[in-house]
Amino acid sequence: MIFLFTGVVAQIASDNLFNQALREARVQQILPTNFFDSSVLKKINLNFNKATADYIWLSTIQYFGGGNPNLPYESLSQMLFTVVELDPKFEYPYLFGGIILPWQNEPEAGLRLLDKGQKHFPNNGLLYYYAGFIAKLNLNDSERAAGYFQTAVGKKDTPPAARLLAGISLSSLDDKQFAKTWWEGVLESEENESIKERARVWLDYLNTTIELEKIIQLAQQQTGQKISSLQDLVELGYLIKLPQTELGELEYDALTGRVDKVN
Amino acid sequence: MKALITVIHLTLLQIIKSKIFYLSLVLSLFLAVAVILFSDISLGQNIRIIQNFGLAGTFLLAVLISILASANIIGNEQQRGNIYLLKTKPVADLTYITGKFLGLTFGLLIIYLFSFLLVFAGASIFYEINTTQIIAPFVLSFLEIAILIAVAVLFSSFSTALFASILTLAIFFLGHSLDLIRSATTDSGFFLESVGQLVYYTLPNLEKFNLRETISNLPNLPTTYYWWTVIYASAYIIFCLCLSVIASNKREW
Repeated sequence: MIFLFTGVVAQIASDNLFNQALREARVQQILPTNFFDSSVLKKINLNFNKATADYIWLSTIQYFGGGNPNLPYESLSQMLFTVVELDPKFEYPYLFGGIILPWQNEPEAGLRLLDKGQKHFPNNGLLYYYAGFIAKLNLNDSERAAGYFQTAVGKKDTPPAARLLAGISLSSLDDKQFAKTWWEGVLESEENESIKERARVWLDYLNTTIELEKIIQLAQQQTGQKISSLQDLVELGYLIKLPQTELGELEYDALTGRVDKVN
Repeated sequence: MKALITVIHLTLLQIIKSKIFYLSLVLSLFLAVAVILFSDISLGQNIRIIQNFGLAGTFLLAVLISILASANIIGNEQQRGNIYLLKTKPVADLTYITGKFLGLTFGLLIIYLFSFLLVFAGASIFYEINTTQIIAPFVLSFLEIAILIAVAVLFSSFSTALFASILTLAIFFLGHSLDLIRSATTDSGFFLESVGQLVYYTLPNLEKFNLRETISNLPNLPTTYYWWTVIYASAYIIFCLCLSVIASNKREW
């Protein structure tokens, strides 16, 4: 019993010293990352793929939950990919990775994981919804975001806001007519009053910007002058005053020829 | 028939009185508690963890015990010399081997069923377990264990308990790796490919009984699949028992 007690005390002491050394070196938990290679695991696990995936999933939760939040979780994406490669029908890791990986400065990995999940769960709207957020907020890719949000609409578990977000992403693309059609559809078919109200605001904004762009083209044709700002239209008499929308002030970018709200 | 029933009965008693039996009960209890505790730290994936770990854990426990019990019970009889006493009785080798196999199979069924019920009945107190996804894998896993018992009986009929255990364990690993072996030897030349094919069809393909991985992806497996699997298991078991009888006959007692 004395030796057993000594062994327990020695283990506790060595664990504490090791963890302290990790903290001082500002290193996240050391994991045998080669262990998480799914192609290797599949060969040695005697086809216990689901149980292995579950074990790696539990390890992932312990790694993420028990680690230092101020340090990067370098093994996280690999562990998540290993879980879903062992069991592609394990739904939750796709969603978990889709939320956490962008926060870990790995938006592309998060997007790849969600894309993988979409192949196996094509009816889960959240996989597209989260992908849309990553594309819009982390990668600033409105076109991709619009695609994801549009696909998400109408699918299981998709929040109603997906319609709004699709429209907002579409509104920043070149094809304003398409965005306008989208908002008109939302206004016509949406039952949620707050979403209908937002659709009305955006539709009004798009109508205003489309009209302004037409007026600018007309002014340039008629006067032969290059219009550099909306103030020019007021000075030339095409507008009485600078237009306002509920989304804020508008500005004209002479390089792109677009009228958009001021950011 | 009377002799067969006597051998089955005595084998069952040997299993129930053995330390392995009580150890298996204790391990089953640990497994049940561990599975439920692990499921609590799975971020909401409780039922999935219980199902996968429960099926895999109970199966591996039953496989280990079946290999150890089968090899040891027959091996011990030979070591203690009880087999010589039996040889003086009018008990045919076929009766003895079949009786041992059936006794071991019933004993392992008791152990496997106990651990299975302990894990899933315990878990069902806290969670709603989908029984359709665990019953079929349990049944096919038991058929796999029956094959391993037959293989262990075969190896025990001509070797020591330890060697029989090791060989049976090797067959367990090989049985789950046959697809890998076959794909590795495909397009590797006529000789290697032939060896690969021979190994694939000769050794027991234990993956056929692995419904743990596929049940959720293929919920509508036709009934004929299950019948063919039962026929495959029965044929292989009878093949092993026949080889055991031949090996036992050839042995000089």
